[in-house]
Amino acid sequence: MENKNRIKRACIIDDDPIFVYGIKRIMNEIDFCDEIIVYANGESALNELGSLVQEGKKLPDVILLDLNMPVMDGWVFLDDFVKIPNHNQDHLSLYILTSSINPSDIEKAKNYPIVNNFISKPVTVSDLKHILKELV
Amino acid sequence: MAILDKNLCFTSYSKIWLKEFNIKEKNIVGKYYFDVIPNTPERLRRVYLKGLQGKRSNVTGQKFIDLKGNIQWLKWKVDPWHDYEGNITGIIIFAEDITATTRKKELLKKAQEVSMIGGWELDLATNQLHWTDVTKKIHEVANDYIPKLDEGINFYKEGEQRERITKLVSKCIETGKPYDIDLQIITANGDELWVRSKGEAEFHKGRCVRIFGTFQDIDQEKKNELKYKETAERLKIAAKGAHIGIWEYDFADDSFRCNDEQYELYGIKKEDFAGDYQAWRSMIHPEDQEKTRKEEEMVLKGKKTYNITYRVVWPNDTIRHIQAAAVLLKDKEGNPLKMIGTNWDITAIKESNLKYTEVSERLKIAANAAQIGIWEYDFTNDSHVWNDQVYELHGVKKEDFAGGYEAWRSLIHPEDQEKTKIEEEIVMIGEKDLDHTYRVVWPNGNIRHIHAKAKLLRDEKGNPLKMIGTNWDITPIKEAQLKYKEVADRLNLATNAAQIGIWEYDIANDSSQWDNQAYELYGVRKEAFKGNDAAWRALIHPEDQEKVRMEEEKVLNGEKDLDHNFRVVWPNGTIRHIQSAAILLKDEEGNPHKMIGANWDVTAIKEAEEELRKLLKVTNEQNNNLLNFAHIVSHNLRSHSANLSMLSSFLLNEENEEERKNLIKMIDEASSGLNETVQHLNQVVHVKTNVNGNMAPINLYTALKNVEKNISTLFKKKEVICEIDVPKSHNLKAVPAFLDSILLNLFTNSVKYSAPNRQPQIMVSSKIEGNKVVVAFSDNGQGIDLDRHGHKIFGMYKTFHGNEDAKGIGLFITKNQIEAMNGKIEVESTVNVGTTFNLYFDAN
Repeated sequence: MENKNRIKRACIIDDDPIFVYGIKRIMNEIDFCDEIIVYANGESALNELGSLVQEGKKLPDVILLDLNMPVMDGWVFLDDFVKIPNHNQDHLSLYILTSSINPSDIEKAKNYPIVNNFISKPVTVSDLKHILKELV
Repeated sequence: MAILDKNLCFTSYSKIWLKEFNIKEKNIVGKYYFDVIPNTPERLRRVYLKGLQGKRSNVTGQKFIDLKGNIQWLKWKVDPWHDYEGNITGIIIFAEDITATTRKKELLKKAQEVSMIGGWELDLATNQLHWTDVTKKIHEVANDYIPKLDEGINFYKEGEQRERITKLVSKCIETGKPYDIDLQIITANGDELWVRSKGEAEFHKGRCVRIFGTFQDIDQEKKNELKYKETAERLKIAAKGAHIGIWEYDFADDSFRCNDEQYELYGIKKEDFAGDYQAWRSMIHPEDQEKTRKEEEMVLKGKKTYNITYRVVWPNDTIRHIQAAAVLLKDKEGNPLKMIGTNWDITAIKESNLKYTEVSERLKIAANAAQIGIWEYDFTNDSHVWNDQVYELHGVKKEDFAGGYEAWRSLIHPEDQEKTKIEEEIVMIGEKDLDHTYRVVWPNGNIRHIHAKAKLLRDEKGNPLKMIGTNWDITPIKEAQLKYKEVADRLNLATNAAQIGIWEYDIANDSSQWDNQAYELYGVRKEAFKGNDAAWRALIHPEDQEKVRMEEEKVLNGEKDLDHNFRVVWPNGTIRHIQSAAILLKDEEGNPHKMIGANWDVTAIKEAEEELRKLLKVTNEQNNNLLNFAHIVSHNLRSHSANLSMLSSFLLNEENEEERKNLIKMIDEASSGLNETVQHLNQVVHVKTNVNGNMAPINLYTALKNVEKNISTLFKKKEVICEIDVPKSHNLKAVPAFLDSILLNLFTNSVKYSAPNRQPQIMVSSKIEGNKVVVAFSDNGQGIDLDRHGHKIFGMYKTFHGNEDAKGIGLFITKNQIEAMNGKIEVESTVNVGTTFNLYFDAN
């Protein structure tokens, strides 16, 4: 049964398992989405998402992106992701979720049109409800 | 004829007697002679009385002047009349009034004498030539001279003159044609004389029997005439040559007569001049009309002679200045008859006069303005003529200065006496014009520098006559010169002391002049430097050539003065920084002409600047690092604390026991992470604060061997090949603990990120570079994509390989430690080939 009050598929890109646990738990609590995909760093996320586009499958409706990650951080992911052809044909929404409160990071994020918002950790129930409200 | 008795009464008379003496009475017999003819001269009365006494008288002509002044010429013959006894009874008078005929004769004679007209006559029958006395006189021959025909002709001047008279005389004889000619004769005394010779013939029965004529001395007249002609001719030539116009104005018929020059002076043609007074006046310049009219008035009144200048306006509008002089001729009654005068053109004189006035006026103004004294010294009377400026220049008043050589000399500065005398002597010899400077001492003690220039004038014998010259005050110049010298000396001292090189470059000649300092700045010897642009340019550091050229271009374009710095390479290879400032001088046409400038060595400043820049860079880096560190720390601390707060909030609401256990486990992990982060932070702070005083000399080889030994278990387990190729002599300065930590971190990294498909290999070598020991630490591991991660490799919490145990803290700490010890770390890496770290330590 499809529920119009929730998101179909959400993608979390974060290397911190505790945070991933926490956000999944909150998502479940507020009935955020039907499906959650988790990638531990930018590189694996980029590879998987790239494959989806290539295979003609739908991308997640929302991506929650951490900045500080090993191998490929959030910024490099953003740089490479926007280069994927048709990456935004299904009106994908992207949120940065980070522990950084560095003003230069916030400024930098504004240079990426794809980024909907910059949210500082810890992420609260109300943050996710807000996103849900925006997207549905 | 009349007969008188003893009583002088008429006894008989002829009719002619009555007629002759114009007697009106019909009968005068018996009447007293003097009653009948009362105006008989007294002398005749005495002749009659003497006749009565028997004396005879025969007078052919006697002039009588009566009391009224009337002249009477009488001719008489008186004879006594005797009776038979022989007694005298009366007188017989034959008398004739010859006044009229005598007068004629006398007049002719007088006329001939006055005009020196002589007569001559040639009787062709006898061929006898007859000359009158005057004719003889003219020929300057004696009165008794009897001329002969051929002689008469020969008196005429030989040649043309004689031929002409011969011809004329012959013709006269042949045809009866009279002649009248002016010719020259040579008198008996040998004088040349102009005569007028006239002749005519008398014919009898068709034959010329006689020729006769007059002979007149016209020498004076002729000479006058010739002289007049000559003078007139000369005047004409002179007038023509001098362009003097000659004119004559006739008052009676209001007409001018002029020579050709006169017309030229008025710029008109003869035929265009109406020739009357109005026509002349119309040519006079309007402004001079009044003046000329007044002059004429004065002349007509007889108050002065005519002498005036006025302007005339030519038909083509040219204006000329005319000088006019004239005399006025009057008739007996004093009425003006004629005015005869001259005109000449004085435009050039007028103009040069004007010019002269102008020039001298200007000179005066200039001399005044320029404070130039003009003086003249007269040798003949030892006197000076000075203008006001000379007095001013010498600080004396006109009335206080006696004049004369000695008076002047007393004004000259004692120290300049000798030198001025020498200069004067040279001038007197004629070697040169006077041109020198000397000091004068004013009465008030002021000392002024005077420049004098003069010319010496000499008389025909070469003796000094006058000296004319100028003076002017060059004290300011002199003072400026002294000041300049002082400044230049000071500048020299200053530049020497400050090691400033002064140079001058002549653009046109491509040559430069340097002072000694300049050579020192460029490390070249004076004799080894060619001094042209190319030679200078060759000394400039190759990397600065372009920059120097661009600066010069701007200066030449007038955009700025030269002010820049560049490096020079001394012949011995030393590199120095030179600061150069200069100004560009332009010639009158505005073309670049010269460049004068200063160079100084700014190497020390440049090095200090460089040091400062480096320091700034380090400081900036440090600052960035700190900021970065702060952000990273805050991020990490926040991420752990965020997790903790999130987990604890879950725990509070979690009732499921299983889940609670899980949450508590996660809280434990998060707090460990937090702890670890704090430890890292501590480590970093430790690095920053534990350098000073902890640096010690360490032998690199020993240090490496120790670390290798400590991880030998790991190496064995992973079968690592470790080669340490470091000279035992390489010692460096480091904090021992830091060095151990650095080496350990690099060794373990090499093992951690070794390539899974090959045996790990580690190579350590070292070399000395300047005052640094450079350690090269190489492995054959996975390598890092430096294009992607190069800027982050030494960053905190940066990991690149996805290893579980990678924390992103090792290289961050390593870099901090090395930099804390005044060293640096660099990385070279190729993915899947290996990585090399170069470590720079201070050598010990």
